[in-house]
Amino acid sequence: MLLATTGDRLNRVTVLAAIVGLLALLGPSWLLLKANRLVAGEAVGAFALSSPYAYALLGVWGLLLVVSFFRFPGRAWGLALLCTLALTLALLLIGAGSSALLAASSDPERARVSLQGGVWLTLLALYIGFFGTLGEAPQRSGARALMVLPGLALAVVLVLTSFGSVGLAQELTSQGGDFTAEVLRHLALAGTSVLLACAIGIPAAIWAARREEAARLVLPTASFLQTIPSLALFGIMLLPLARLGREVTVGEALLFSAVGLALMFAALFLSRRVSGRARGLFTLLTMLIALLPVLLLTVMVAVVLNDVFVALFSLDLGALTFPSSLSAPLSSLGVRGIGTAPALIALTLYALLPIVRNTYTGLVEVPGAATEAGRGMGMSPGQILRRVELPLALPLIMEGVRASSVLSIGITTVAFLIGAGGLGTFIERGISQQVPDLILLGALPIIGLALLADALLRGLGQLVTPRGLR
Amino acid sequence: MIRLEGVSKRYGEQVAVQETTLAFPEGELTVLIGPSGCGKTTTLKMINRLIQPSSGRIFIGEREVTAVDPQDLRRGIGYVIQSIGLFPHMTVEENIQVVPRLLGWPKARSAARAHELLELIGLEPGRYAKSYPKELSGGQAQRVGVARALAVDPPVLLMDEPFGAVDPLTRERLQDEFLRLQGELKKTIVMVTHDIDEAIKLGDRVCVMNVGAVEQLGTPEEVLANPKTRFVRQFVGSDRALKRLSRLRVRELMRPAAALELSASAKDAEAALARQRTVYVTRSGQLVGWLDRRAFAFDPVIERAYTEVSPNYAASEGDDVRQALSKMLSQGVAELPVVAASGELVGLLDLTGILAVTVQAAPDAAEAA
Repeated sequence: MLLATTGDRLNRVTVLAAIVGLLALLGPSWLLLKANRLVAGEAVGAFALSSPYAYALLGVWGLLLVVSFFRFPGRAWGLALLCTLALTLALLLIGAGSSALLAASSDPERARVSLQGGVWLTLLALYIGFFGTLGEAPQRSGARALMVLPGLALAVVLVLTSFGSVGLAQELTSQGGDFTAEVLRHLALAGTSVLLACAIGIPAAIWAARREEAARLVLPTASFLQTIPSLALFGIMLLPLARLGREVTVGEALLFSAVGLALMFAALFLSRRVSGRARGLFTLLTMLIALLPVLLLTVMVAVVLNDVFVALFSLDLGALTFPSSLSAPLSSLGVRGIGTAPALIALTLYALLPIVRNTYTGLVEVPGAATEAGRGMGMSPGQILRRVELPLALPLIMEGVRASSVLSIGITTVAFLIGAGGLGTFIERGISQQVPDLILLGALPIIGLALLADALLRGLGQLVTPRGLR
Repeated sequence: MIRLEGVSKRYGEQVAVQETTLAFPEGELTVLIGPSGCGKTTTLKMINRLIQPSSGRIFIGEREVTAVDPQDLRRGIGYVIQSIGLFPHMTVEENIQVVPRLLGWPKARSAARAHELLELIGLEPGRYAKSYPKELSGGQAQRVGVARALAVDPPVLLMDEPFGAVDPLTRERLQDEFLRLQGELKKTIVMVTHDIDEAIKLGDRVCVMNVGAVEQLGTPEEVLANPKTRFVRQFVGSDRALKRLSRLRVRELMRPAAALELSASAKDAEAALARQRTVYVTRSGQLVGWLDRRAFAFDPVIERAYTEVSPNYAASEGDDVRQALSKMLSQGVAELPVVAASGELVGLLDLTGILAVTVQAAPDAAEAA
């Protein structure tokens, strides 16, 4: 959009894509054949695979280069078609090339084929190509989706059907059910922490938008939390959480939370009757009283919610187990020094900032005339919030949730450090076993999930934006 | 009727409104006017308790406003703010239905009311009901703001510089429309403005305020003809004699005009021109030009001798006298024919007639100078 304005005859972006694609194809290393999983291998260029797909791909990139220079009506569709074609051919080349290499190797049982620089560069070229195509595409979201989605669908099918000989797929097979389990765990951790961050962050931001003192407390806190190294956070929480899990029963925890919440609401109710300076003091007192019970309740909700997510994602609600009695220790619920509890706490704290910041900005930027009109027409503060401020701030809030989700999916990678699993597990295994394909098995799905969450929440954000604001 | 009894508003040491006692008569439009910081907006906002008075009592009818829940109070008072403040995420229709919805009206009833109001303000419901505020022009948005304030037909309307956010041309048109509307609706209106011309044009009564106190309350004519204090005299300006003219309609000052039909005989023309130097010429009542003695003496056929005039040469009987005077000055004439909206000649306005009403203010003008 920035580079390829619709008035230009030359689409500079797709030119770049074609050049990168050609370089990748003509480069010396497309795949890597190794005698077994651990030894160093030997790089093979695309044309050394003696596959017709390589020549076809060469042709498509060349055509893309030519088409990029001549503008004609509907060129965007042509560019989209060429990019889709290039994607298909590249994947076919990888699949067929890997099979050919394996078959020709001395010991096909042990030998492994890894993806090399040429493949990654080709993927980059395809990304640039689609980006440049959308840059000159019509703004209708239907047309734009039609340009990209068939290629993506085709890619999924091809990867699933023809990648059997690629090392990555063999690692996946050898990990067996672990892979699915870790993906689900990863999603559950990230999803739970974003939900909790919304539940905490949005009210906190509303409070901050209402009162300046609150803003001075909430915003720096959310920023500060992001600066704590995750490892340190895990270390700090280890012992307290372990003790909590061991020595406190589920019943006690529930009772403590209930009493704390009751005290909080009582204090809140009373603080409405107090005026002036005393009110601020009262609010502070209320918060101090409620702090621990609310934290405890939040942690309990977090671990249970996470279990529910895992069960839901794996379509196996039977796997959901709850402590049999109230006298069971909290650890039976999952609150332990290691595992999901500390991971969820850390991830939630990290997920807060984008949500808090965007909600706050969204509310503060609601035009004063709108709130004044609401007040003048007899809306209560709650009605102004629900009917005027939140709808107007919603696009920005959704943007915060989106940013937070992408961030969380990335950060959840460290959850394996405290024994909560997730896709980071494969990365760690790959590093310790020195198997690059295994590292990729962890890293690629993380990127995929992040992109997917990004696209879905972007779409949702568009959907919930009131028409009058678009 | 709205009454303020000894109402004050203080912010710490700062006094915004001081011991003010005022009454706004039922069915009339009272304009609060003064320089910024004079307390006019504070006074307005205390009526619907957007600002709490520090002391004193405010009544709407027999009801004391502090005895009512502020939200209930505001739902029963129409409110138009300066920047209009339409909700950008709601359609025009939804904006108008805000208060009906707050009051729990059934959907069908509030929708019907919204359409009725759109027709009242001259926006076709079929076209505009589902539009969003950003799709409206400034003038249309302002009218929707008024419609929204009228949604539940409140007896009282508070308007805070309602025409402040539109360009001068549109403002004049909206003011005219609004005057017509108020003529039908007869609401009790309190309006804040800092534009003295707007106050004179719209107000049944004008309340001039300065540093938190009322300087003078009266009809625009009274305030212009008889400024009570030095401040009011300065505020209404040295051209207040001219401003008074904008309260007068041409039809109030015009006198009968001598007219001659185009088809009239030369004898009739001679007779008419014997009485005066020029006569206006009409074709079946419509003004077409004028005829003077010299031209007729030179060529005694009316159709050849008369001088044609363009339709906007004449003053409209609905124009204010200030506009008509301006027309006279720019055309360099001492009298103008006056036509009705149909173009029919109905009279003439001359400088003598205007001077007759302005001399009443002359002693004050001398004093001010």
